Amino acid sequence: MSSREDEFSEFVRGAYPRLVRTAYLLCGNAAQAEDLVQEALARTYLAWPRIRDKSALDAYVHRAVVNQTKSWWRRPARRERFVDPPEQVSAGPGLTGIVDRSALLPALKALSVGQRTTVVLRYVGDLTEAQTAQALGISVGTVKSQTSRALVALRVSLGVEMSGPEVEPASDRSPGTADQGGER
Amino acid sequence: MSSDDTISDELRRLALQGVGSPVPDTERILRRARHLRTRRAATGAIVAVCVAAVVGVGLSGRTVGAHPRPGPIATGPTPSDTPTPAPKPLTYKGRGDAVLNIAKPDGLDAPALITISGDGSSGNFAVTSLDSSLRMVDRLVNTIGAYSGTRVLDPLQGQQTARLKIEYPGTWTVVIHSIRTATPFSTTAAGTGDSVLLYAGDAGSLAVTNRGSSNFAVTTSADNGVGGVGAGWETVLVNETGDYTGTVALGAGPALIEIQSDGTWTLKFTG
Repeated sequence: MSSREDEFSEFVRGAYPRLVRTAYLLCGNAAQAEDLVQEALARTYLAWPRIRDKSALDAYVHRAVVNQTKSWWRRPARRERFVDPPEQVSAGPGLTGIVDRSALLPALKALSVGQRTTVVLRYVGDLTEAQTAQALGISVGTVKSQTSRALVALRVSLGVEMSGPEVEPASDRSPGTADQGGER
Repeated sequence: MSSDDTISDELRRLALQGVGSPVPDTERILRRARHLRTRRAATGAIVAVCVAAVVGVGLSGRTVGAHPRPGPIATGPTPSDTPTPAPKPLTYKGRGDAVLNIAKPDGLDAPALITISGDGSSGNFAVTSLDSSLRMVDRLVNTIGAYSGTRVLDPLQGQQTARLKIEYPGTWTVVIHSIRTATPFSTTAAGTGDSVLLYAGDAGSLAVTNRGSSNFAVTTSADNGVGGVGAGWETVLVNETGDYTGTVALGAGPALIEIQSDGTWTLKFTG
């Protein structure tokens, strides 16, 4: 195997589960999520020599996944699949009892495309605000506002009690993993 | 723990529950990459040949081809020189539901433009492309009542539409024409409804607006300029609902740009 393939394979091994989980929450179908991620990774492999800054790979490949998912959304017959019930969703161990997990996927679907994509990349893709902005080709400010609005909408949909102002100032928000470690 | 932390934790758990910890099949991904490279080369060659033919025709600021409706208006520099005539468009007309056997001007394997219009009769207007085995290739139109627009037929390598399934209570017209008849776009373009443009310029920023109420999508065969992600057909520049104003990264031509809109749209290349 060439060094390019070795590098790529190592990257894929580390990123694949997280990418598939991200795609799953964007498309709502586990098998389709794997297909979308594989296509995105194949495109990333072709662009590999042109990606000089390998530290930007996470944002790069997430952008590819989002592009693939948007292509999939464009097809009306495919887009309807998002409403399929997710496999074996139930209130499992570790639940706080506050959020009904079975309602999460429909609640995600009810978000705008921008809000859904942003919140999934931030929380499940574990991208920083800057990486999310890079992945989606939008500003960090837009990432903050989209995330904030998505959280408000999800809280309302899920009937979760508000823990703060309805829309906190974008500059003060740093959700997800960034809460512990700040911007990566 | 805040409600936001709870939601983010539950999102992660939901994703984990949905797909577990999948193991990648790297060999399969590499095979897909090789297939994709072949597909891109073939599609790129077709588009490049057609762009070269268009550039040779000497177009500027006017609609090209056999659009049966007012097409988008685009302006830009004036290429010149030897014209290479595009194959003649193929026109099909009828009334009511039908399944058409069709031909494509540049051959079965090449992408084409398809302009579809109805007489405005009420009822569902659906046009589906099918291959020779009657398997669905794409849903080209799915709306209620009047429709007039142009779509790309068979943009991906391997797609071979042989028939069209038309569902419409009124009189309809289908014109299939070469992609070299797409409206050339270099700096500004404006139009109504579904349209296809041919872009031969450099990579840069593209300012986009739409005034409509339904899905608005801009798709290109160009590399989108951000590290090559999504290069090849089906790079989605915009996919929103309703009104839209924004600027996106457009890759270098030659490339087709497909606009799907139920309203009026504008494109402006800002460099």
